[in-house]
Amino acid sequence: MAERNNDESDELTTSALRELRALQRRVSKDSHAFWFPCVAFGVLVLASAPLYWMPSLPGDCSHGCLVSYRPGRLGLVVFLLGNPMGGGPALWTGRATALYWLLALPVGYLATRLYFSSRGGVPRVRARSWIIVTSFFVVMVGYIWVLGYISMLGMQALVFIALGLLLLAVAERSPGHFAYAIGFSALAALSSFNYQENLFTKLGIGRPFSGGGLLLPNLLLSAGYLVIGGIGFRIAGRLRTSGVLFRTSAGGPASAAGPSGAPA
Amino acid sequence: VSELDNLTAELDDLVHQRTRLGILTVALEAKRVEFGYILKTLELTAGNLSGHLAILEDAGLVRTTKGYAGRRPRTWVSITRPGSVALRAEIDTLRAIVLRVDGATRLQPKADPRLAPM
Repeated sequence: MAERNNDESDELTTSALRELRALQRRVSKDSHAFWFPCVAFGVLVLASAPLYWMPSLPGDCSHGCLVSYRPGRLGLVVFLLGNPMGGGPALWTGRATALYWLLALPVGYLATRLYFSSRGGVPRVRARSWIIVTSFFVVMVGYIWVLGYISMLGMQALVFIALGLLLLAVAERSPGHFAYAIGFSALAALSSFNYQENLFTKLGIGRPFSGGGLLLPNLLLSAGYLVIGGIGFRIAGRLRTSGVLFRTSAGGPASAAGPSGAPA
Repeated sequence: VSELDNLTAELDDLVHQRTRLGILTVALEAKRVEFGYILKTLELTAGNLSGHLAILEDAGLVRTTKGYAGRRPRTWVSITRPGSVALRAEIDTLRAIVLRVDGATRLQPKADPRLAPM
């Protein structure tokens, strides 16, 4: 009789532990959705690459076209009306790039928000997602109207993406994600003011000033950072056994947990 | 058996209750979690969850804060340090029980099924 009681108790306790572990995994999975915006924006950056391809360099741009553009008030109005997102009017990254990013950035943020919502209410993020989205648009509008005259090689979108990731990392209160977002911010800033092609040239890869693809290294580095980082976060999230409660030895009762089974 | 009884006595009824155990687990993992998320994840009714949260909050194991997300009122739940300690202790005890019972079962000779009482 006592033995039967022991067996039942063992079964119940094992089952409770298994359910708790499954629950913890589920919450952990829901809590970390950082990978999605990384991959989504990485793909959007990658998709923009053809727009940055220059069929030929503007004739009079061998020296002066890519330096910062500081227009007077009239020039600023022209810039704001003509090319708000794709770089200063002196840049060849023109209206198509501007239009692409004006559409792609909101699409990326909307997709991120939808993804969060689809995960059953992502605990750490959902309540604050409106702040993130609102802040993004405030910053975007503020940027365009206040700082828009600074030429950034048509890479302003990278800065917006970096800001979004930083806000997300802060909302998640994740030091790892924050460090990653800081890294991307640095890359976005570098890509906005520096030709990354120079870096490759110094490393002996490629030739200097390779014409049409001059801006592609800037984009590809950023896109690679986002996509690879996002995939990394995804894999880490899947492999991650939360470990807060269940740092058990292999084969222990908790390690036999299935993927579902929240306590009712 | 007496050792098992001792272990069982270590279980805290306040934490051991199935739903509250679930609430604490979610709160520990999520750090700060919306009321609605717990509701959905544990498949509870709002009244039921409120009742359990009140018990846990009275015991100082969780903290609830109210606020707004946009215009919608929200309640967030976070686990306190005593709550975290209590949950870990509970899990440790449950694991100890399983290990103890498993060990005892292994030590006992297997019964011959032919001799089992009908």
